[in-house]
Amino acid sequence: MDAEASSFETSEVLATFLASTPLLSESWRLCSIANTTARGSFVSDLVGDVGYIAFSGIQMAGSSERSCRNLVPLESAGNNLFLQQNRLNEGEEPVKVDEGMLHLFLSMYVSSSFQEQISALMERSKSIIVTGHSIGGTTASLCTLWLLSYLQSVSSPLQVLCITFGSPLLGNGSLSRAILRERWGGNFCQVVSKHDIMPRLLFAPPTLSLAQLHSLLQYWHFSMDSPHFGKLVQLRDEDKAELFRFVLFHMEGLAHAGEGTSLFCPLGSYLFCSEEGAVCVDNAASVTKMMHLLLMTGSPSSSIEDHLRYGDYVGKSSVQFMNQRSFMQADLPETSYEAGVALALQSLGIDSQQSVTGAAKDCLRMARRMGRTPNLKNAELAVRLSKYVPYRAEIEWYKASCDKSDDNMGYYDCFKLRVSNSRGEYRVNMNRIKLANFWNDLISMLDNNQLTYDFDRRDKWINSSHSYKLLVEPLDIAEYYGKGMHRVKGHYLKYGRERRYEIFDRWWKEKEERSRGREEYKRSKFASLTQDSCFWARVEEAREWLDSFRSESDMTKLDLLWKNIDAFAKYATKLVDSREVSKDVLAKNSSYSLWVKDYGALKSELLQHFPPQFPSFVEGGMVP
Amino acid sequence: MAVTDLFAGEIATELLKLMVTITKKSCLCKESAEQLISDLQALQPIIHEIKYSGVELPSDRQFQLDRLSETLRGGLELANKIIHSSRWNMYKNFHLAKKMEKLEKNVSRFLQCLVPVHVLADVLHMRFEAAERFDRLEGSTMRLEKQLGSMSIGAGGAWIEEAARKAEEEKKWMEDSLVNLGVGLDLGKKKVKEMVVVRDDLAVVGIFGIGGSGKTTLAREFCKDHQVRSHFRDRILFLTVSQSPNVDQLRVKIWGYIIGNEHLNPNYQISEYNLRYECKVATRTLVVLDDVWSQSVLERLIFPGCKILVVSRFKFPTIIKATYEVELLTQNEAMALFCHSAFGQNSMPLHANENLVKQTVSECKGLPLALKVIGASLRDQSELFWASAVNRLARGEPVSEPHERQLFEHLATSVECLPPKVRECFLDLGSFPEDKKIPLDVLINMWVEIHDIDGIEAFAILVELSNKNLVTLVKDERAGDMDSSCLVFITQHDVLRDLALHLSNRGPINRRRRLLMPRRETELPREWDRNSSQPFDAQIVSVHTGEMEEMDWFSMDFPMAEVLILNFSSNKYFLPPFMDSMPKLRALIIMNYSTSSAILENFSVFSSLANLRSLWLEKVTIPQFSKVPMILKRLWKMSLVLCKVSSSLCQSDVDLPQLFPRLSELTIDHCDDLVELPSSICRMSKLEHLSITNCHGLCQLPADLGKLEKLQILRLYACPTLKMLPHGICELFWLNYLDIAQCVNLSCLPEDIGKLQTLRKIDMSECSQIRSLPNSATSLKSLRHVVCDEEVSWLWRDVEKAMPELHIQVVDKCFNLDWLNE
Repeated sequence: MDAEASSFETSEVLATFLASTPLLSESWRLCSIANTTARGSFVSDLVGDVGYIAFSGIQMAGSSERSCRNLVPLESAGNNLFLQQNRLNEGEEPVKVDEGMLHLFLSMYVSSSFQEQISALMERSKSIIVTGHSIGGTTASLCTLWLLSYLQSVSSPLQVLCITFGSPLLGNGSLSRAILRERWGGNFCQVVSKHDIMPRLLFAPPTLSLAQLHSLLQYWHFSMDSPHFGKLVQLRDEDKAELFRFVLFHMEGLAHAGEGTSLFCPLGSYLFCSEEGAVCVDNAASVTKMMHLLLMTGSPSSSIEDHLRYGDYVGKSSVQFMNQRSFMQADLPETSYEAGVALALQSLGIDSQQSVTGAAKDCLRMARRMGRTPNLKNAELAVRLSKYVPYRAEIEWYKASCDKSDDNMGYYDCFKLRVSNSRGEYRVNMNRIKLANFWNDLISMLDNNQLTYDFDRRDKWINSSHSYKLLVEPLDIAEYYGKGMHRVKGHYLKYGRERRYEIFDRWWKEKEERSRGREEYKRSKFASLTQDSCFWARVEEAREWLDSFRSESDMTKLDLLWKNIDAFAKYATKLVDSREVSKDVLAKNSSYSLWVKDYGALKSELLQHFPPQFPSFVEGGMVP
Repeated sequence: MAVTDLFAGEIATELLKLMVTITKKSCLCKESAEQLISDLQALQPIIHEIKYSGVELPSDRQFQLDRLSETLRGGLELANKIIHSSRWNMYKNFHLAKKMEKLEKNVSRFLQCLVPVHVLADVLHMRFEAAERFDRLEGSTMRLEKQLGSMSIGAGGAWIEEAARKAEEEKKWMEDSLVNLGVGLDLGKKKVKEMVVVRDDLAVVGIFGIGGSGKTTLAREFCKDHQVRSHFRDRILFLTVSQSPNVDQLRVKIWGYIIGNEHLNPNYQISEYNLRYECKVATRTLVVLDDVWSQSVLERLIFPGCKILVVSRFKFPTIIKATYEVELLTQNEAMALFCHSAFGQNSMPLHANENLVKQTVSECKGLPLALKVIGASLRDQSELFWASAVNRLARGEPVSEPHERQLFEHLATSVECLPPKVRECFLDLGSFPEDKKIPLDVLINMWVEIHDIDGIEAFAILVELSNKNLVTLVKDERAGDMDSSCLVFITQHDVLRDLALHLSNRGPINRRRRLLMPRRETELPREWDRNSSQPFDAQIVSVHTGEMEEMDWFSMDFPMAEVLILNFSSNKYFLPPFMDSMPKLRALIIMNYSTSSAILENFSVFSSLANLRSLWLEKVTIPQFSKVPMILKRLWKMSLVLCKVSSSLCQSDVDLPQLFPRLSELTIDHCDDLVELPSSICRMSKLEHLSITNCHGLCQLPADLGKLEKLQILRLYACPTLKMLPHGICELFWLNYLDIAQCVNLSCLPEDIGKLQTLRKIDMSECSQIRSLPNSATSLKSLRHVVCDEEVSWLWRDVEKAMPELHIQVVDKCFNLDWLNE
């Protein structure tokens, strides 16, 4: 059975819901004001508790033209204006946006009127709607992005929603994913009319003649500027047709090739509107596909004119929800899901006879499936995690029993030397391997984008990976050194550490950063687990330094070795003093305790025999 | 004179017999009162006859006889009264019954006190006949007493107070001490309550435990509990079934209790009709069956419509679905109980030697009966006696005569009712060190060799012993059937082990069937040395020492020995030279209990073991085979556990088929230095079972494993570094069980697995990397059973469509911490 058969199709319902609120119509009202009165600028307004800021769709043609389609990293804006970039997965392209659009926003951002009005809005309203038509839409998106980053940094409860009308594409796929990862996807609502060519324009490669584009923009600008004034500028029909064919051709190619082949990528959720109603789609790939399918049903002239008809669409869909809907088709769908799909198609103005119907249906289905799969995977993984928790618990018990045993060694050394040579140690090793497999699987799923984008920001996973790392990595180190792998491959820290631990380190660091500024507690007892999971690898290296120090005769090398040893001793003392280590580190016969003993012996030896020869040793403040 | 005496004796007996019937009848039903009257009337003339028989009686005797006839006359009146009293006048009836009792007492007093004196007096005159009659008399007196006792219960109607009072008396001192250690008891009570009171679906609930673990105490406490009593509205019947019960009588008793008629005729027949219909109307009733010994008895005593609580040493898994296993006392509880019986107070007195007390308590292993008995026998004894007692306990010998009698004999009843073979097997268990887990395979190896049974039967015996609570099977979470026998361990309560030792250490040392060392000692027992001039008849020899060197052994002769068990804990071990003189040795078990593996010396002694059939080596370093001239021609089963094998098996030149030409079962378990199997293993044409389990270093299997044409069972459990199975596996025509569970890095099953036409079972649980099945899986036509994880089970469900007989089992993992304290 199709897994979707039992669920509901919500794209149409969502859109109807949105249209039933005053948000869309108010936004459009302000947009048209901005278009007519605030050329190249913006207007703001307060309706009830909701602040509106609308960017004009008519911008300085010259400035936007110059660098159109040139993607630059978002960071180039400087001043940490936008979200932090350290959250990228490795190998991912940096977040980039169109240079011209960025420039436009920045020029507005630095103006004092913008700053004043924004801060006034922020003071007086509970939520802010940022809106804009056409190119104003991209400015609005960037503004929203800035606003969200800013609000997050000051942890303000203010709500921000971005509603754009016929906005061109803004940035690359990384931008789209970064927004999802921050859970901001729902803050962007891009209204796109059925045939509007503007949002689709940037899917095509930049081979269009500038003159053509220029005249198109000019035509739109004039029409926006003075909607009631008649058409002063007219486009030639053959130009329209050529543009239409060109864009359609490239979109078709894109729709077949799939994600990632275009420079630009849609972001946030899209509201496709038609005469009949509207549907919401939020999956980037489905949005692209849907754009193509809808454009196919249009004509060259409608694709140009639609860019100017948002007012009509918004007005219609705002009252649409009050109309009684009924099925036109003779055969009623079998499931509620099918009914939802049919309603969505109807809202898009696609009737069942049209050739794109099947494809549009598939597209809606795909959107739903792709939206749901990562969530399901997440949930599945959580269930699997619960099955692996006992393995970790068993290792914890092993640690506890080693702490209690008479060997006084701690679990690191017990495991390394297989002290008891019992079935228990085999079991611990087995658990170690099983846990490693589980987390490796998880990482590979993450790499393949099978999980939700904000997976690595969920506390559940950060915390469980962290405690896994703290508990089990010492065992991995023990196995590494116990089996003599360091002689084959080199030291653990540099050559033996598994990638998963580095990833978990990063997750944890990011979490720490997010919660920075909170009160810090001082430990009054030793930690249950050593907070530096690589502590033992450092001990092993220090052990080697200490051993080679005794056999080394070259002065410069000795100096370096001593510096290393000294640095480690200081580091370890600091950890111990702040009680960041668990008590097994300090067990009487643990590697660390033995090392400290050796180190003390060496130090006193050195002091007795050749004190002046080790300047660093003396300078390092190690003279008692 | 003699004639009179003869008569007096004769008549007294007659009297008794009559009285018996009379008393019975008088209380059972009213109609019999008439009979009683006639009986008494018949008696009267006899007494008259004695009195006036013409023979002169001494005046005192005359007087006594008068009194008797007086009493009997009174009885007659009483009987008349009974007849005439109204049937419904309960009080009066009861009153009369009481009187009847009194009458009986009078009679019995006369018979008990006076008649023997009479008879004794007469014995002077006629010794010959009198002796015989005296016996008869005594026996019948006792019978009478018994019946009087049972009658008073039956007639009293308030038997429960009676029982409770009795219980109270018995356990009074026990309870005193349990006041502050009642935690375990309360917990047990709570758990049983849950099963009996809360869960309505359970008709039969059991309480189990080894002898002397406080089962009956728990059951009695349970019956006294207010909640229980109010739940059953005091309708609780406590019956002691014992080893040889009169089942019919018990049945009648229970039935009578259920239907509310407690005076049923003992010969009453319970019909099917009764069972089916009448018990439905009965109110809630609890029947406690204490001390049940056999399943057939239990089956007959179970009535529908009432709750039954079975108290037994044995488990009856087929009948009883919910059981509570009595837990042994915790250290503190044990200490308190011991102190109570040894010092009369609940904590250790200041003057006591703490060390000795603690040692003694720990020897008892939390068994209440042992604590009680040993404590009592050490009461007021000198410290020297205590020390020797500790010593004796450690060797499994009884501390004192009461200890032996009360504890061992109490426990021995469990053993005595076993069939002879099972009993022998139980006694064999004494050959293993205390508090250690014994691998199931070791036991089976041993039993197969000495009791001439096969593995399956040996396993069945073990299950029987376990059902009788004489051993405990400790199963790994996966273990279930014979296939996973290597995951099962056996533990035994120390007191039971002591019992086994005690029972097998009877008789002169050279004649014993088992020559055992009860605990670890630095040298062999001196007793052995002293008797070593004579050959020992022992079939099983078990030695438990530390490190042994050549000098530590002395020459002994074991012409009959078939099993040799060498337990030790050290890093070096010199194999005993007397292995030379064991021509019949069939099973050799070498177990090292230290933490590091031991180096065996004198390995050359193996060359003389021509009859050796099974070999178990644990925690030893296996020497390089090429250096040791050992060819074990008859060896068919070899197990290497926790061994270092790199110098022997990992050598490429090792020629296994030449060394072990008949080997059919090879087990390598927990050997982490096993990286690769020698390729010569593929030429072992007799190999049927191959188990390579928990070998964390094993990287790959030899490619031509498929040449093992007789292989039936292949277990590769928990080899995490094994990445793939060789394709040769698919050539194993006779393979019927494949276990690759927990091979967590195994990425797939071989593509041609469908060729395994006889494969019956696959265990692939926790193979998390296997995410697909080869297409040929559908052609595994003999496959019946798959054990796997939930993720993979969906793949098998698809296969199942083609093979409807397939049983897919998704394992539930269960976790415990037993492995921590091995």
